[in-house]
Amino acid sequence: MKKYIISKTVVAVCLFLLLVVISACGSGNGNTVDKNAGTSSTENKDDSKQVEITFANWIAVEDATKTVFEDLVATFEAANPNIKVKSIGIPFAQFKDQVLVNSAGGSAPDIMMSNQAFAPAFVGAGIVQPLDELLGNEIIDDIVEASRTGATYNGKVMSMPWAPHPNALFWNKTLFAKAGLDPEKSPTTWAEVEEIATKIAALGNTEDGKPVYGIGIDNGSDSNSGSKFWIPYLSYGGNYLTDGKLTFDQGTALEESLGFVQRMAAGKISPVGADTKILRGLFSTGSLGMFIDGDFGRNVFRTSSGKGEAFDKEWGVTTVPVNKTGSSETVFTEHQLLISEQTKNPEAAAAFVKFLVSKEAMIMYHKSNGVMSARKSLAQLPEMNEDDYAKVFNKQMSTATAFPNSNPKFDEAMKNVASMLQLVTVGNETPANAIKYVMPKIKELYE
Amino acid sequence: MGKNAILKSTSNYILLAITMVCFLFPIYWIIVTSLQSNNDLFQFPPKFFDLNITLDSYMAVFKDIDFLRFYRNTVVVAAGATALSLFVSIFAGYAFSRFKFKGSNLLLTSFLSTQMFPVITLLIGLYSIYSSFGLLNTYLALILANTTTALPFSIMLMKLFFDGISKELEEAAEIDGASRWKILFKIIIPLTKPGILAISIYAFLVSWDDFIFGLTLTSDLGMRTLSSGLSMKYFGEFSYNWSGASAAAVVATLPLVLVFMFFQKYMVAGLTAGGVKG
Repeated sequence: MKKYIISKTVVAVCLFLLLVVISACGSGNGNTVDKNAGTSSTENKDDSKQVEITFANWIAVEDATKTVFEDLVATFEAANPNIKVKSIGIPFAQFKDQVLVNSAGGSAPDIMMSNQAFAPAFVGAGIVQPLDELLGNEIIDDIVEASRTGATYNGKVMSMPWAPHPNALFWNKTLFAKAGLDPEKSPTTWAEVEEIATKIAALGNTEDGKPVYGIGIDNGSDSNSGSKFWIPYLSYGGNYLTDGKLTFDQGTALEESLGFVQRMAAGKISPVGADTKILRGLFSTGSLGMFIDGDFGRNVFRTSSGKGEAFDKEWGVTTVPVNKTGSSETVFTEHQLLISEQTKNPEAAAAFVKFLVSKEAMIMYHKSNGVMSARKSLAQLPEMNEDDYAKVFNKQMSTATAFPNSNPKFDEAMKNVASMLQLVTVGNETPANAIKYVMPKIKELYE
Repeated sequence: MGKNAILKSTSNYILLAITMVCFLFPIYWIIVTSLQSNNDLFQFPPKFFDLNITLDSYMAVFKDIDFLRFYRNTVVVAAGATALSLFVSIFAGYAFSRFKFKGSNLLLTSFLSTQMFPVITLLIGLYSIYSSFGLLNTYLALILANTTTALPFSIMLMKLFFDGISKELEEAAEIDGASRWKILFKIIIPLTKPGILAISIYAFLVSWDDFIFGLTLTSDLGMRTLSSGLSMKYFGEFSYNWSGASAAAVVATLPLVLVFMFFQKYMVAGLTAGGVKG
């Protein structure tokens, strides 16, 4: 009898759970669901018909950009009532892989957001189409030269530069004052940077016991850390490629810049093993004297500090100090927009891209997040230069160097550069040895 | 107790303590991270003790509609995949155990071989299939995908259980006039209760923890499950909300811990019983 009851219970549980399955099959999420997520749901054969375009991005789900993204889409849809934009939010860390899987699976999004590191993979996989004709000369010829270079593959513009992020120097005025320095005077040379950073690090701890560092030099272990190393490297006169050939280790720039990173780490002037995300947190909590970061820094610091706009008074921003080249050397990262090769609605997709890089949209985006435009005509607008913060980044953009991302091996090369940084900071190897161990691997990538 | 025995016992305890710390420290770290503000977390090197405790991140998690939606989706998917795995593995396991036919061993091996491929290598193929059947962004897609992950091991385990039950028992019931279905439901299945519970727990754990299917087969925020949804909400391009992510992780893990606490004896019994009898 007992066994009979048990078997009945097992069967009942099985049936109940099966009911869950069946109801799940029929219900979806209760919202309107596009069962064919990536592809356009309606072909744009008739202009009067409603067209849905899909936009793969990561800004629609991040707190800092979610609201402005919704506003941008609403503004576009109001002006283009026959086009509906469906956002496909993908986490940033998995973005590249997911877009490639969707595209290879035949359900590519119509438009995809990208950065300069993802774009070569999308172009290399042949999942995007040239934009020269779709966007027209008025927009293509208006792209800032450095951005255009990074977006051009075999003579064709494959990605539309949307928001460039040149890196400039942030400094903490409170720590400057505590170290006996003029809080309103930023360093103008790398020698001054080193001197000031040493003085700030000598403060020891903050009032609440957190260690104080003079400067944050990214020496993490991923390719982003390798890319960030370009800033000191360029300032020492480095030249990564010459006429397409690898010249990374030629001259003294590589050894000298690695030496600088090593001095900062060994003297505990810069935290060892910290990547940019950690450094942003340290700057936000008043533990870092100086830090080189992009124009999105202000928003990140406001959020991470927990002080909002009030935190703006505690820091200043200026162009990266000069070193051996005599020029303010820096790099820029960039958000870009690409149109899928598989899209059934190229005109509608192009209309949305044109809108996102238009004056109206860029001013909206700039007001909410301080981003800049990659279009020459817009970068100079008073609305895009309304305060010193915007002016510094617009000025910095004029000397910023684009990464040679069109080479698909670049990302791997930067991982190796990060290994070099680890060797001189964590491994205490001399710069010469670090170069000796790692350079062959980088050269191999470019052979 | 001799000197050597004491030494051996002490070193064993030390080894166990070290192992325990290695396993428990990540849990401790997630919990303390969830109980601090991001502002306090951002210090380098990190602080392990003497912390400023706050429940702000938990409050934020419970107020977050998206998080609750991820939770609901995960419950539906995990329950559905568990049910389906159970249903299929019981019948498949019984069939593999009782009906020997040409190629049955090969068929069983081919079931198991699906677990030998890294999921990532199958992803494009799976995505294409689900896309062509219009299953993207549905619970069914996630339930099927997680079931296929859980099934090979579940079938094998059930087969081992059925193998351990004497065929004479079925023959006796047959002589008494019981049909094959009646024998299965009234005699055989009740005897495999530990195995059924073990499979249920296993399939539930596999589905609850899934990240890659939840990420690939859904694109609507409203259809995301916990792992993929949390990755999207808390780990941004420029900064990570460590405290929020840890609080969400703790809340998301609680059901699993409870399920395991209540059923672990069945899981262990199920796994070992199946192993011995096999």
